[in-house]
Amino acid sequence: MTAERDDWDDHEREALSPIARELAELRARHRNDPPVDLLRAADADALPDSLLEPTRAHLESSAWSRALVEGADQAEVELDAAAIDRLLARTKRTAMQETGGRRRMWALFTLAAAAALVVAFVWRNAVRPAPSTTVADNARESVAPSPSPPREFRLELTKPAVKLTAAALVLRGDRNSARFVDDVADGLNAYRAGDYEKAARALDALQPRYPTSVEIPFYAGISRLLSNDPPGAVRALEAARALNDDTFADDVAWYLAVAYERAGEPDRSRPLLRAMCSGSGTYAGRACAAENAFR
Amino acid sequence: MEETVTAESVDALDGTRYGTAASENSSGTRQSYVLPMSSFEDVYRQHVQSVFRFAMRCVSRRDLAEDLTSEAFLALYRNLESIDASLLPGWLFTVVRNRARDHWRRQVVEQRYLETLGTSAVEPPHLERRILESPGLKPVHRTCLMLRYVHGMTRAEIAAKTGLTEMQVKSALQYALELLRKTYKKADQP
Repeated sequence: MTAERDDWDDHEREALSPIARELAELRARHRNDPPVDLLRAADADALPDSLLEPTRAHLESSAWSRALVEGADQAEVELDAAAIDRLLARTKRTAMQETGGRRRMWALFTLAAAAALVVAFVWRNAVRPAPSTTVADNARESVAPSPSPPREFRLELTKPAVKLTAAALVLRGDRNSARFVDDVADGLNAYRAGDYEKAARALDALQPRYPTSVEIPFYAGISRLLSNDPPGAVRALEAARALNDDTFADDVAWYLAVAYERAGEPDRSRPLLRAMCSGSGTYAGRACAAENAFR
Repeated sequence: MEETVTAESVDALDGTRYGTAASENSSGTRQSYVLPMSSFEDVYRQHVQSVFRFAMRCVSRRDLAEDLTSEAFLALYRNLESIDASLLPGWLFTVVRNRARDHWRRQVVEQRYLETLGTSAVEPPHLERRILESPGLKPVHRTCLMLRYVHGMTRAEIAAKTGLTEMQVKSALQYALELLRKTYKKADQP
């Protein structure tokens, strides 16, 4: 990434002259580092496989590159009001053009279908008695688009806010290591920001280090639910349930029921709902309502 | 504990066919309702900044990040009928991520980067440790400093890659340089 040029101004030259030799050494050391945009894309899991794995491996081994990404990600970048309106207008315009194009296509198709039916009608009339349906009926039947039914679930999926068990606040991975809360921050920040794939990945990576912390499989499971991976959510939430943590017991049960339903296994949701309904936990009301609906 | 992310319930619908989302009634049965264009705009305004920031992370170019943001919302518009509103904004991020992967597939990444990727570094030199560990440097200042004085980028290039303005880059560099100079002066004193 290093360019061999130097367009520093006088102030910069003066400030850096005492460390010129060390700086040259540093420039040589990082001459072949991947560009910052590639590093950031790897961190966001936005590279094709051929680039992702080697770049991610580099990121893991280079504190320098990680610092570059961290700083770039913390730059306060946003769209101004004019840009927001401009993008919205552009999106709507393209959508309308597509809709218009589709309508024109349907109209042509309808005309062609109607013409074909008229020809068929005339031909049939010539050889047979009159048909029982009208041309218009036939045309409607042949061109009416069938709307795809929306997916419907009985169990509501809402995003739970982040909470930690009391034990997590003082837990360390092993001797001299960072605290659990520091380690888990990346995953939970991604979760808070709605980047669920990154959250699930970061949390999964911590699982071997914190095998008894329920927060990890729980938020990994929720992240998978929110990124439309119900089977993955089921696996993670079943792992969370196996830890039998009282603080999360209600939440784990509810979201596991949600995950079962979305994974196409509503029968496995019912015992969980029944148990919640007979208790007095946070989800009791919803569980009873949902259980009735399942019946 | 909950932070509801499902779209707001729409009681009075005008029947406009723009898409559907879902809400849950008192019996727990999930029901479909139509999202009119005004709701699409609400969703857009609610999530556009976070989608744009994520797009910047993926491609590090403002113009391209705007394109990806627009494409993500266009995809949302096209799929309003089938999308569970509770999956937002993650669904939009996934669209951006996939488009970004396409972008990177089309780029020619210099082979020299791939050849050296993953190589384990020897002990970092003193200056590197100082830059990485200086507690007074904010991450964004540190990145500007690294890009300018080690990776040889101009202020305009740094602004383009990070999304900062040139003025912000300039002031971050001034601050970082001054801090670095002070640190060295202090270290040189007997």
